[in-house]
Amino acid sequence: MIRIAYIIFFVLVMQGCSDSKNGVIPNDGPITLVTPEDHFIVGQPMVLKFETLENGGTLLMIANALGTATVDPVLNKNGLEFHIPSPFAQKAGRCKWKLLRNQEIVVSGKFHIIPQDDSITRMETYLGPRSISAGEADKTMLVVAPTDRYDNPLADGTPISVKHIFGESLKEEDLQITNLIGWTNISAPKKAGRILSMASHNNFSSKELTTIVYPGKATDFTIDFQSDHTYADGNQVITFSTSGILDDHGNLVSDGTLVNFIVENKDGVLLRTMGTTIDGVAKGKLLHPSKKDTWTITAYITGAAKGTPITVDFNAAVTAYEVNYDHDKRTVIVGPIQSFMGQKIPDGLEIDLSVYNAQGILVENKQTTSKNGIGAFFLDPNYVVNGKYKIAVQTAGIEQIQTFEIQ
Amino acid sequence: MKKEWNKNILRAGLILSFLAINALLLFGISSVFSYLNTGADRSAMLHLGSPINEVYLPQIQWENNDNLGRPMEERTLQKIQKDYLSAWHVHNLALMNNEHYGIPDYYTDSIREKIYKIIDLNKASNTHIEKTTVAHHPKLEFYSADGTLVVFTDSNVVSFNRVFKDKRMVIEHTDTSSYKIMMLLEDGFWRIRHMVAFQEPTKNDLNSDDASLKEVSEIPMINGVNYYPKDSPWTMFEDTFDEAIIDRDFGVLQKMGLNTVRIFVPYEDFGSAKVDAQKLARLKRTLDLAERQNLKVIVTLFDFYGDYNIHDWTLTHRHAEHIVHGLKDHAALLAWDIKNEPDLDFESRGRTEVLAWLEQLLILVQQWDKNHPVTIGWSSPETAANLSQQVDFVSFHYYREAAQFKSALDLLRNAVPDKSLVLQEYGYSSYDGIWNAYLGSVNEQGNYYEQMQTILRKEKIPYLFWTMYDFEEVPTAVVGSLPWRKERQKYFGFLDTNGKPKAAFRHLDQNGEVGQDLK
Repeated sequence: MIRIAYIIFFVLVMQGCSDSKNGVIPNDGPITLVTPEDHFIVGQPMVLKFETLENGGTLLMIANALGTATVDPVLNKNGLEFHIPSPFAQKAGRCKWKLLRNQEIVVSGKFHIIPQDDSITRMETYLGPRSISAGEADKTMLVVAPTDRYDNPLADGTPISVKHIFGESLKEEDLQITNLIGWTNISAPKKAGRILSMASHNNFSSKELTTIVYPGKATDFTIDFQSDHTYADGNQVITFSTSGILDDHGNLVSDGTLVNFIVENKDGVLLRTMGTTIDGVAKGKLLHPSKKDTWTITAYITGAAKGTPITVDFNAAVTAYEVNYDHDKRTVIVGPIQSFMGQKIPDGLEIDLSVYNAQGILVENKQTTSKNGIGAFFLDPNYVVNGKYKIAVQTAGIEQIQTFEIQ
Repeated sequence: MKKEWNKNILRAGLILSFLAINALLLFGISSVFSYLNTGADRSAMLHLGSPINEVYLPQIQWENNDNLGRPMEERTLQKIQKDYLSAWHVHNLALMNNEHYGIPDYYTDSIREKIYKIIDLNKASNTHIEKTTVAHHPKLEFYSADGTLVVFTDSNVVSFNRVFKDKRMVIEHTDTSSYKIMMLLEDGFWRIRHMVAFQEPTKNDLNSDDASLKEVSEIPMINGVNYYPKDSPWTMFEDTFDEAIIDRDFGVLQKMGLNTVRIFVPYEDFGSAKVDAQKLARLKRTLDLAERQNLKVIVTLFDFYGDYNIHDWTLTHRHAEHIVHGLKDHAALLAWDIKNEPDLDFESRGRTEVLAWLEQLLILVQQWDKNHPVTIGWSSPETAANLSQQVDFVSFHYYREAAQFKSALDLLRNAVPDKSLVLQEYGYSSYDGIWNAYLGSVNEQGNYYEQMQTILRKEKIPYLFWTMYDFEEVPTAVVGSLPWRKERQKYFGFLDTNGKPKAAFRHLDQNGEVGQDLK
């Protein structure tokens, strides 16, 4: 009997021990924070100490901007210690904590972690736009986001020095961090070129950043032409060229600027050619007309600038030609056509023939091009039956009308 | 001769069974074939997925987009907001599952390492966090000239957090924090580069909301009915919605001397987070009709909603916000009821989950509509003490014996001495059939209402009975598919399926005028 009593006693004692070890017995004694600091420097060991007579079943919950975690206590004779784990100790900003016991908040609070200003700084810089146009209207922006060795942005008010150079002119500016960053606008200079910039703090400096300053919008320009002669031979090439096109500030416009040349002839017909600039000059080419004509040439850079119009007169290269027939009058031979020096006109001159019958009704219209100075038309008996006809030949802007009879 | 007959019958049988087997075989093969041809939606090959915005929609309100840098474009701001909320969403998921999934899409290289370290720490200590944000108040501080860098402060971000250690919840709490955020545009994503929590000077106006604006004086005067039209119970706002029927019904209720109807807004049928404008218009129309008949309306939200998961919160918030903003200025609106009988989900969804969801919604609805009281329709007097401090009046349902009502009521009065109580649903089924051994009757129902009305009048408890009509059909979602429940549910009306008054009508008609008309 006594033995049984002993066993029961033992079992009870064991039960009691195991319970208290697990800390299930509710503690409700006071727990007070004894750590006086509410500001820490980032990366330093951080310990929250609490004074309490009891020690079981507590847990610290901490939360910063990037997450929440739980920390188990370290027990010592004076109370509880919680060592803030490094992912939290290394993140600057406000950190909230709650001391939990049996799913209840016993004490809660917060502390601030200040970024380490004097440690190794990483100068993170963002410059953009990376290409701007010359002139006061445009600007590029330098944003500096320096961080400490734990990649925390530096505190508001931290001074940053910024330098930028264009040509010979070096400028320095002092900025202050506000809302994680410092920033400044760099206005475009009047000249095209490159702006180099950098930022520094505590002797830690950024890499070199470049913005290219492109010339601004083109201004009006003049046009010129080159040609070996001004005869309308339909064979030579006339070249139009612009003057060196400049922007508002005297920079030659960027290479590749597209210039459209628009040509209007005497009859109001429009011709078009185009070219892109190299060193500010664009060129466009056209074939000479094949008859006496006057061209008015204008040039445009779409949406930006216009060239002053010029006029080019083309003299007639061909002044007269003959029209003959072969023996059965079924072949009309035009030419030989002679050009301005009496030479045969170059191959390819367009010749137009219209055939009218006795009633003046158009029977046939044919085109050909000259070869060896001559153009020949064969009148097919299936279309042009025997009879009286009137023909009109037109080439090089000269028309000849003849009547004849096919027998 | 007879033998010949037998033979023919046998032959016919053989041929028929042959045909039947062939038909079955063909059917089987075709089912397999059609099964193999389904499922592979071509668009699925593109992995387009659903836009992430539809799974995370906390309240977000940009304060002022003037900033010192470049003027902000509306489209860019939308994209920033989308990616910023997505960053919160993947962050919440990462902390819940202790996984990295999605983090690289919305956090730059250097900050994601820091998040991974916290995840590793939590993995090691077997901790995980369930979290959702409820409200964001971002204010643009800076937008760079090249449009690739943005800094903003997100003040008073309200979040709801549950911390689990060793799979046991150690704390559930609501937090309000402010952050400074820097985001960079990297290959089409706005990614968070810096995120720093900071202490904002506390504003007092957050707590200055005056609850006394709420009109609760009308609550003790409630006598009314839980209303569904006769032919479309639980599907009142579908295409069968008929103003004429509702108008006539409301006319009858008004003549009976009733002053309130309680109607239900089903969550999914109303389009979940993106509320269906047509159904909202029908809901408004219903309130217009009620106003015409001098009836007030209690609108019960979240009918048939059963997912209280923390990741579903923001969607339900947008749903409620839309409906509350749509109706809060309506003259016929009397009160908001967050949810019908949420305590029935305690067992399947967890009591803490359900209560946390309800509490958050109570706060929000009270914020959105400062003029109308908010309640929760608890299924019994015993559960009605839940959140009684947060609601503006306490609603409970009672379907048990009339004789025990008084004692249940007294218990509740003791538990909640300082709030108006409303008996929001009660009633008795006159079902008389095989499932209750032919023991019910319309007279039983009449007796029940006679007893109940006497008690209610004596105790001065406002009431809404269940319901106006007997229904011919009850959707399975309401009480399940068991016939003894379904059949019983069809006979709770004080008018039968033909619209004729049942015995109970006499006790519910306050004026005694309409009974004759309906006969």
